[in-house]
Amino acid sequence: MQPEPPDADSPIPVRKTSSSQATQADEGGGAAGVASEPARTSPKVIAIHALTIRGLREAIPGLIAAFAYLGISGGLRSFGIIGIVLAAVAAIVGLAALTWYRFTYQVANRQLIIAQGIFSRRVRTIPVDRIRAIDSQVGPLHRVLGLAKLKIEAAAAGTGNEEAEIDGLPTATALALRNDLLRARRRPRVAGGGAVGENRVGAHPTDAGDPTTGGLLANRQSGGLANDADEFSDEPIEDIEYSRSRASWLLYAPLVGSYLAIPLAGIGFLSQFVDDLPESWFSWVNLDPSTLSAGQFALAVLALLALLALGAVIGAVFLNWRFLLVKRGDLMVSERGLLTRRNVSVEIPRIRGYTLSEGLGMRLVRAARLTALITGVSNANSRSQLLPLGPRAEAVTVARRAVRRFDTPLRPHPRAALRRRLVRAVLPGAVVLVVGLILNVLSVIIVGAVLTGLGIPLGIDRYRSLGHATEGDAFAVRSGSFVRQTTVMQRRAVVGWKIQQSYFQKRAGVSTVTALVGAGSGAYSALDADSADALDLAASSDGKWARELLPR
Amino acid sequence: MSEPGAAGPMSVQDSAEPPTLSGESGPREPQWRVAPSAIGLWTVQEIIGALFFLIPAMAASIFVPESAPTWLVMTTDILPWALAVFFVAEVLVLPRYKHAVHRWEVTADGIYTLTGWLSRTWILVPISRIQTVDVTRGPLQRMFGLASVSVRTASAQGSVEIHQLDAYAAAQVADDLSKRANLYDDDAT
Repeated sequence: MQPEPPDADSPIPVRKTSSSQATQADEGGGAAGVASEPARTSPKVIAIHALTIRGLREAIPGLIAAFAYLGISGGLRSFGIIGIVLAAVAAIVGLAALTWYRFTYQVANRQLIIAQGIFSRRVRTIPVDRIRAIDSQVGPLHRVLGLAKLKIEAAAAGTGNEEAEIDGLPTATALALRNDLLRARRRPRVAGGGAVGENRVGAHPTDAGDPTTGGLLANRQSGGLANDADEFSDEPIEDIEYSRSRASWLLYAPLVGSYLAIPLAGIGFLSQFVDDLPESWFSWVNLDPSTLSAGQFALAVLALLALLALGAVIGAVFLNWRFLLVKRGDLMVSERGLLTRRNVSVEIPRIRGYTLSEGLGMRLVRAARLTALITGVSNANSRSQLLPLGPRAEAVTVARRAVRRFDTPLRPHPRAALRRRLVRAVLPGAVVLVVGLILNVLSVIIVGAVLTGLGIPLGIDRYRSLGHATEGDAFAVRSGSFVRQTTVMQRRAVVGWKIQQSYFQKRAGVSTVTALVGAGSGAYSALDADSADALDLAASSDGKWARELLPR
Repeated sequence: MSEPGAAGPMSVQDSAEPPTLSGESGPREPQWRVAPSAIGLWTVQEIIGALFFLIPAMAASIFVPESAPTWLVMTTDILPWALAVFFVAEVLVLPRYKHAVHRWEVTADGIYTLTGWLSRTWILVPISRIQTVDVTRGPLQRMFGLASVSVRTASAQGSVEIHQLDAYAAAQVADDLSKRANLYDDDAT
């Protein structure tokens, strides 16, 4: 058993889910950290609730009912337009205030308890051990008011991720609560923590021996909201900077699919309204495609592409402005964003590896992005980013410093893999080509021929991407052409092995071996590896369990 | 903690003729076969599946008028017979073949399965990484006294399913696995 913190054996509290006046009893046995009793967020958040769409949305049902009543009773006329507006504002502010009043959070008995809901109440209890990452966001409105929003990611294994949100904490309280929650978690086994080993050279007071890390809330007697600003003073943790982005890296954005999607989404959103605008606004636009010359057409396409690129860069600026990655004790902390500044803290022992992604366009300019494999955190969210966008060399350096070195060159897969990749890449085009030849339609033939021709370099590139290697307590697999992904992970992260062999693979002497992990996408494959190599990769896994795969 | 084979396959351990289906360099075959009554269940399933194709084909051959184009009439006349021959062969062969190649085993440290008859999949999950163990029984399985065990891990894609075990054996295996998984105190990630 892990050494349990001192307050773990206090009785489980009975939570009253029906009333907002939660139990006043001291549940933590002397726990005096942030919010050991149910606490509210700052009332200033009412302004945010009311000003954002959210306030309006929540108020709409009530407003409709009110107006319907007034309309029927003839009261509308006597109110006048100002009266209606005033009533609406009062309703919105009132609801926002109620929302604030009915929201409480509490840290007790190693649980974060959040109660919310104006009419139907919801009480969510998150054991602190389950907290994987905490994300604090400061939007423009929040910044003006000195507030922050905390998002808490608590993974429930297998059932998807549950996210809790505490909106509108004063910045200092948010910081203190975040630190409390992160520190309060049970220390995970550090035994095989190779992921951080090399970085522990400098003495960090938060290393395993330090009482403050294991002792959590119960050890802090000085708590209370007033003192929380001093949080850092009694813990001289030095930040170790891993990466600080340069503005010029944002120029990579147009080459990355996900950033190109930003302006496209924007165009799609705006186009909904074009039909609703008065026609006279567009009278100066004198477009008739049939009168366009080739030059004009090319110019229009170029302009559109330039606009897309600009949109992608602007999107990247908003998301990734001044990205910063530091190690703070046993936390990996990243910060980014222009208007909304995001700060994400992830526990380093939970980092089991990394994925280096290089899209086709990014490879042209030697750019890459880096994400961490964090147990319990799926890679669907952006929380695991170690480098959102930057030069490949920088990504490799960050991976090496922040996660682990992996210098062994990847072993290429057998020739049969090349044949199989080529067949797969060429086949769709070839089918189109044959259909075109049968039907004798020139356009189909051309499309088929082009697709077939493109399939050859694609197949070769996909084959070149394939590879795997092992080094010490870690291994690496690589695949993909449109997005080449190199994943390096600790063996102990593997929760199972899958080996697949189709009839054709068997004839070619290759297999696909997949490491199942409770992080990232959940499965990482070495495609079409030599069958003996595949078995070797799996069987030499952490512990003796994987040897069962070998013939006896 | 029980012996590795204690949760064993009851009457299923007919290790008489181990078919050498896996390649020379492939992973080891798990030892145990699924319950023999699985053949009956799969046969029923195959027949139901076949009817989905056969009935429309027969309906077509009856309802297509003689005045239709010759190729259509000929196709609809032949199709039911062709399908019937194919499905009879499939119903006779496939369940037995599946029973011969599907394997499973609870090893000292893990659960190990081999599934698939044309393309084959081996999955090995260590007991220390098991999150949940479920036993499910469908209506057809109930008729044949069978059950399925599914073992989940922290990986979104890492679940192991063992279908068509003897119902009693399935309960024993699930019990044994969850007890042994509980001996590990970490969060199995």
